[in-house]
Amino acid sequence: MPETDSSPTSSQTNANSSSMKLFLDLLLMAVSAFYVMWAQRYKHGGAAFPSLIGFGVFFLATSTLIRDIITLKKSWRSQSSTRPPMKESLFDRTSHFKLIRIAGVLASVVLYILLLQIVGFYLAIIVAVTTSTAALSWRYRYICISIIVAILIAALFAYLFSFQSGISIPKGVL
Amino acid sequence: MITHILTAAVTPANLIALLLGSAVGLFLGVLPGLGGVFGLTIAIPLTAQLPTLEALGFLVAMYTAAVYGGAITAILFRIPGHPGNIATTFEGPALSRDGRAAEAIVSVGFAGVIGGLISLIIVLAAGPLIAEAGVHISPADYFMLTILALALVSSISGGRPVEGMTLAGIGFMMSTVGLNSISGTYRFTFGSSFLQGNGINLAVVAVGLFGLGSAFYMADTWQRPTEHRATLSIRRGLIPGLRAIKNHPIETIRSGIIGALVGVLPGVGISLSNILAYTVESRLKRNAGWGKGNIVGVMAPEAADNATLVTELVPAFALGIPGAAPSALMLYAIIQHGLQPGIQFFSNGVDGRAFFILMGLSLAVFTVLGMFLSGLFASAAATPLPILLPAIAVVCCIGSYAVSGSIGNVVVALLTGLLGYSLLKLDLPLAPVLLGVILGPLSESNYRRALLIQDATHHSPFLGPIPLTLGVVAIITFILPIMFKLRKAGGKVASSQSRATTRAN
Repeated sequence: MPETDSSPTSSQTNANSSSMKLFLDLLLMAVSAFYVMWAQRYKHGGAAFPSLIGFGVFFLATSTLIRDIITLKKSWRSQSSTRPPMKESLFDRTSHFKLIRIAGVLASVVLYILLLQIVGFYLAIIVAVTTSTAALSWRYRYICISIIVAILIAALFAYLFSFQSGISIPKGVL
Repeated sequence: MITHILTAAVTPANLIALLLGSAVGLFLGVLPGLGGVFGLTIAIPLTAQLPTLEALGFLVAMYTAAVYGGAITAILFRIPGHPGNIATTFEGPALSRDGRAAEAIVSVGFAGVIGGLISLIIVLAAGPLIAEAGVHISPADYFMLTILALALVSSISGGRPVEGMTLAGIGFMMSTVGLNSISGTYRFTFGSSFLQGNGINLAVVAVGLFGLGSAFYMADTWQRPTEHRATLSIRRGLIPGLRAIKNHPIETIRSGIIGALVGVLPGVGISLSNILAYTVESRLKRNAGWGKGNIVGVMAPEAADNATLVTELVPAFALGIPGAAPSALMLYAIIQHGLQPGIQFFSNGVDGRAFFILMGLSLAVFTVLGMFLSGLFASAAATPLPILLPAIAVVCCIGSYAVSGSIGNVVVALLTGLLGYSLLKLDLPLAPVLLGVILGPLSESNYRRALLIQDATHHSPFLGPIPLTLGVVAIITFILPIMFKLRKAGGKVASSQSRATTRAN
């Protein structure tokens, strides 16, 4: 993995960060609205407190969304001539590197969760750490991603098999 | 009498027990999610056959050392080993990046010793009285105390109170998942047996937000938490660390007193005292470079932590009322060894007082041991990222799995890890979410208890002198920074307008 990636321009970073902020604001609004609606089911078991919190979060998320839209609009106006297309800024080469690296760390967690069910505690640690380490090492990335995918598929099949047939797979089979 | 107590406490066997307990505790503290409570549950039955003071010395050293171990990982990797180390992650990683990791580890150790000693002096002087006072605090007082703590969110929000409150709200929402302790109903569990049984655990959220979130963020930025192995030498950090203590005695003592007071309140514990100590210090000295590697930002939380560890045992030992899981386990341990909780534990029992002497000694033992071993942890920080990141991720998984032996906790840690990563990416603080998870159950249960009292007595408990004072302080605490900010912004606009007018003329 190269230690120095080509850094994106500040306008690209701002565009990415602003769109991520807007997305999170909207997500939070949706989650808090759902939370408040769901809280009404617990009328005899403590609905008031969650409703109050949910309303508060919804209100704050809405105000943050409005503020972020205004800020984004202002920055777009000021950079309208130089603003790069969104598609380029989201899928540039740097993002590609970053995604692979984050996927490498994510893989170690997912692998651990899956393997813990099938191959046991210690083997799960070893397999998760070694495969993800390899995934983060740039030179062998394609081989490592293939290994992770293969293990994931194998683990999934094994898990589904044990789940459907009711036969528990002995620890250490994989 | 004092000589008699000291002779009983300071024996070679007790010192070996302290040393072993400290080593085990440091190891447990480094692994997030395991911590002292996990160690106590395993070690109490194992130490049942040992002589009383050796067993209690081992247990208390293990529990207190686990908190120090958690502080080391909080400084080096932004992973709090224990919910009590959350505030240490605010300044610790920044100090590490500046090459001041060793200084931070040393200063944290000595600040912890000072905090613990302050607490021990208070306990030995007036333990039973403090315990009595702590029990008489009403649910309305508690509720207003949580509101005051919530008002302090703005000081750990990096100057963005609206975002801070929103994130605290997310934490509150998380805390409502699971069994409602007042009504006995399950909320937001969606039929999941895991959520019904466990809810969303504070330690798991801390591991996910800080541990996994940081691992994802490091994978994104591809930057090590600590850049230079040479700066991690504890020998080099000893003098600057001691100098930091010498330069900030008031802050350390103040944090120790805050920690000691919080420890007396049942159910609050070190998960709040460290954040409270940090927020108080950051409020008192606003322009001291908070969030950029202020050494007081790691010393204050750890001084408060160790002070709380001592005083949270007081209600358990003096009145037999444990306020938290560790004090309940320690209460069980002393009963197992034939000691009776009560006022006499502090006044005329040799073993009772010797226990607190051992606790004081354990502070020194684990600090010295921790400093020696931290070189080992510190060299781990210089490990290449492709090895370090999956190792952090899997250690976080083990930690969250160990909380209740459930894979569901690992999934919760993963989800909160993604939330932590998003927040770090947007340069938003993580602490308010955790503060929400801590304060949520405390504020809801006490609010509802206060309402039940109101229904029974037809008198509002919120109109008492303590709740009213706390409420007013909370309002002032929340409004003042916003007013200062508005005034500052108004001043800037006015000065830019006057400059524009001057230019036009």
